[in-house]
Amino acid sequence: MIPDATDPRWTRVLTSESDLSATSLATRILISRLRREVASAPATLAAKIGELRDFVGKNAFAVADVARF
Amino acid sequence: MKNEMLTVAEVTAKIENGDVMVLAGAEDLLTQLPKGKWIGGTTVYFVTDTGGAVVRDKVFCTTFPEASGAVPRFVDVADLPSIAQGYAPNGFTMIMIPAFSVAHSNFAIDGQTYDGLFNQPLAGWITGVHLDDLGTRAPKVFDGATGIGHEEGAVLLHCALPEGSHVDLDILNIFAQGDQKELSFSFPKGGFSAGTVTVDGKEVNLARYIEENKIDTRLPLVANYAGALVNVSIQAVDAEAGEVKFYAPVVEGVEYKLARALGSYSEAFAQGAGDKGDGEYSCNCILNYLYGELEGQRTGNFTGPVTFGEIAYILLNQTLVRMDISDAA
Repeated sequence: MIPDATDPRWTRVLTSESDLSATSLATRILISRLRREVASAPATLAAKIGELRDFVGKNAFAVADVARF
Repeated sequence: MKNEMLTVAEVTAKIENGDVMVLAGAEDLLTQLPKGKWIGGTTVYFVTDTGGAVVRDKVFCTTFPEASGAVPRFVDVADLPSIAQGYAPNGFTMIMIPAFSVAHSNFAIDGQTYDGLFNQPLAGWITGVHLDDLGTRAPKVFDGATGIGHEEGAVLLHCALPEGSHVDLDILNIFAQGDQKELSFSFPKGGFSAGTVTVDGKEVNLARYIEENKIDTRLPLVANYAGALVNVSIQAVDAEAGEVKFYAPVVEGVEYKLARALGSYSEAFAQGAGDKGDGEYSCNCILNYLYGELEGQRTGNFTGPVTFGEIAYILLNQTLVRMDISDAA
């Protein structure tokens, strides 16, 4: 099950520098880009959370990654 | 998944049998192949079962018996952002792009922003030529749907898998970030070249800094993408013009650290690979082949084409890309 968009894990993972070595390659690369975009335009956070949730919804392996955020 | 070095006649028989394949070989071999469920790219450099080698008379063939279907597709530069539109449900996509093409540059800079690109595993490589042929022969990609070779655009093989199958796409980077702050770089602007760069809080001209500090440009600049180490390799340094060119774009705001020096590349790959590699897809970088003197040397159990750039969702340099497919439980 994919956490709701209001779940604090989404904001935390996109606004921190936490290491995600235990997650899949796709998750690491995507989040790295989303972090840069949020850092340069904080108002886009909600949209970037939506993009990350869409990605998780389309990749079964990424659902397990969320638990590591 | 099965990796083999095959003659044109052997590959032709597999294509006619309906096998789903990605192919790598010399242009004059790939042009002889019939239409079918395959894509191909030019290179004459390979890591084979017996080590790195230049092979001009056989095709490196990776067959995907796991695939329940496959659609080869050519996209021109304008349609590159539509890559994900061909993704098969529960599948994966293989991609090849010719080196030095506009598609190569566009994918490198914008690829990770293409709509839905990360929605399934995307793996492949940048096609090349023998280094003696640089400037006289263009790298090509081949679309199995038509059998036609292209110097521009990209070829894709959209593969479907049975429900429950799992694709493990990852990278094996033998380089680690160095820890010297005077070899840590941030770029004010992204792209395939750079002039000014920030080093330890000071702005310097990168080309002159490299020359003055006798930096080994065979070592890549390494960025840490949330735990994934991603290399950018240095192509050329022109201290007079004050410009450094790269084989992949640097990204604005990302901190890059010069990689630590390595001993034996072959041993580093073998150590990093462990017991992985058999029955997996892989490709490795021409710079590792050259700088690591991989001719005649193995890279653990990994075999595959040696390329002008590797793709695991994004363009990579000096990296081994590996992919494994597990059967449905």
